[in-house]
Amino acid sequence: MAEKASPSSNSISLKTVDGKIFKVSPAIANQMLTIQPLIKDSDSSTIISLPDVAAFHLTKIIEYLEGKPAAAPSAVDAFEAQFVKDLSPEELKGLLIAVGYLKVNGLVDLMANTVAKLIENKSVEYVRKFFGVVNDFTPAEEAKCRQEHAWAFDGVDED
Amino acid sequence: MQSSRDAVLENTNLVSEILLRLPVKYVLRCKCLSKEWFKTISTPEFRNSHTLRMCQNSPPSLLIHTCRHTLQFQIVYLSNTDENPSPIRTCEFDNYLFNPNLFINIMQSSNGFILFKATYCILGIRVPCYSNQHQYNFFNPITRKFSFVGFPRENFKDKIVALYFAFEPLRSPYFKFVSFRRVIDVNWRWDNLTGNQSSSPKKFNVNLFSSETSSWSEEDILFIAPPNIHVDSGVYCNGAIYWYISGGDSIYFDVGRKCFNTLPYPTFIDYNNMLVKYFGESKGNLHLILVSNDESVEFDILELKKDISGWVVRYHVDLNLIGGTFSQHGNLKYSVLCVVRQAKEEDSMLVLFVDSKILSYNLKNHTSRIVCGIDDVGQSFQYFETLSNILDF
Repeated sequence: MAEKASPSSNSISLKTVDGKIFKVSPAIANQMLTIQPLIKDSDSSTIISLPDVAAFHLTKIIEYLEGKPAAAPSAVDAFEAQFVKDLSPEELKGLLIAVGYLKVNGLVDLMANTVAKLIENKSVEYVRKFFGVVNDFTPAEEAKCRQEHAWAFDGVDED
Repeated sequence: MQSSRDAVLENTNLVSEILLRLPVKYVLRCKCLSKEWFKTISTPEFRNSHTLRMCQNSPPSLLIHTCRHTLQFQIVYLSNTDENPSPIRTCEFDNYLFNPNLFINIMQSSNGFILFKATYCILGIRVPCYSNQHQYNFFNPITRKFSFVGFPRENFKDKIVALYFAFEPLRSPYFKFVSFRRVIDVNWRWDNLTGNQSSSPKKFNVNLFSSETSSWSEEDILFIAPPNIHVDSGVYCNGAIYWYISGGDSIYFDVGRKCFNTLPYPTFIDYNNMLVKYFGESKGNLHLILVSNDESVEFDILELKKDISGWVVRYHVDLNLIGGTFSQHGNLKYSVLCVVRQAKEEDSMLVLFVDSKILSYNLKNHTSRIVCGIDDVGQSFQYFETLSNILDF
């Protein structure tokens, strides 16, 4: 990872589940709330393992933290729109999980919003498949549940 | 490596984070995913968090009640979303199906709850055989849970001329009712007999109910109202009930402090002899539209200052500019259904009923859109859907 002002001895090493090591500045690492407590005690030789995060996701997270404009909400909106634009539903889901695990400042909100928009008007079957949810209702129970709020099932988008 | 699908589910926080960002319709749909999701969505904590979020970001809608003999109403979604192929849906409730002897008066729509009065009459006379002959109810059309407004004594509600519901989830999980009961004194009887009703001030006893203590206030607050006030036409906004009085200072009742104050007349423009085209609330903002005649198509939307010291011009509207309906017909009868404020200023809109259509007019970029065709708008209220379950408190 590209280093900025901080000398490399200050950088934090993060190891992803697929074995890649990323060196990031403490300023970046500190925005991942889950690893924050580990940073204080670490030195240049410490490698923090991230069991739920793949290299692709960590690359995106670092891209977000380094690239997010500091001011002007409109600039942030434009940056965030660009950031999620080309991600596939699978990639969005993976990134959401990584971000949720690392508790990345600002990015949990963006990912949850993006995934919410993605599933917003989809069918129950699509959302189940997307999240890998196993339907444990009996057909009668599910029918009752659908009946109760029948209007909510109008106008479902094509999957 | 764990499958990523399981990981989303294991992190129930993440599931909640997503659900909290979905409008009510899609949250309800997600209830059918599995028992786990059903349970998450049904908890009071989730419903409360979702409601708080929706208070700021809900897609706005209108609730329209056209037939007084049933609690059937229509919800018209005002947002321009492609996902909503049908902007109207009809709500019916089995306990208030059509009955020619039933009279429903919807009194208020407030943060997802509806307050209404149901009266059973035959030939204009209340029917004693119905136990619930004359009742005030409030309910959330989404959860379909109804509750009667309870009163301290049986005859208390008979003198009620106005009842207000104060519920602002962003301020407090508790709600209040404010009742106004007519005080009948000798003068009033005399004026009534002589037909001289408008000269003497009307007196009311004001009482408050708080859900925090589940009780009505003991003492009556006396309200001596100006003769030209309609005590049931007030608007609840930000902890107070406001009455607009033409040609003079208006009055408001501060619910927290339990006192009446005056609200200065908008003096900066000559508003003498102006008609009130609209007086209503949206997201804690009180709006007033005054017009020189009922068909004026150019007007200001006034907003009450946050410190309640007076009015400011918030928007200027010229309906000639929107073309279509208005420019074709010249003088056209229309009514203002509501001013809708949104978290994003560019989404704020004016909603009109004109030529059997509901029209939304964007207050920021002055564009307009036909929301839907409809024959009659009867009583209409600004509304948004919530999962709120205050009745459990």
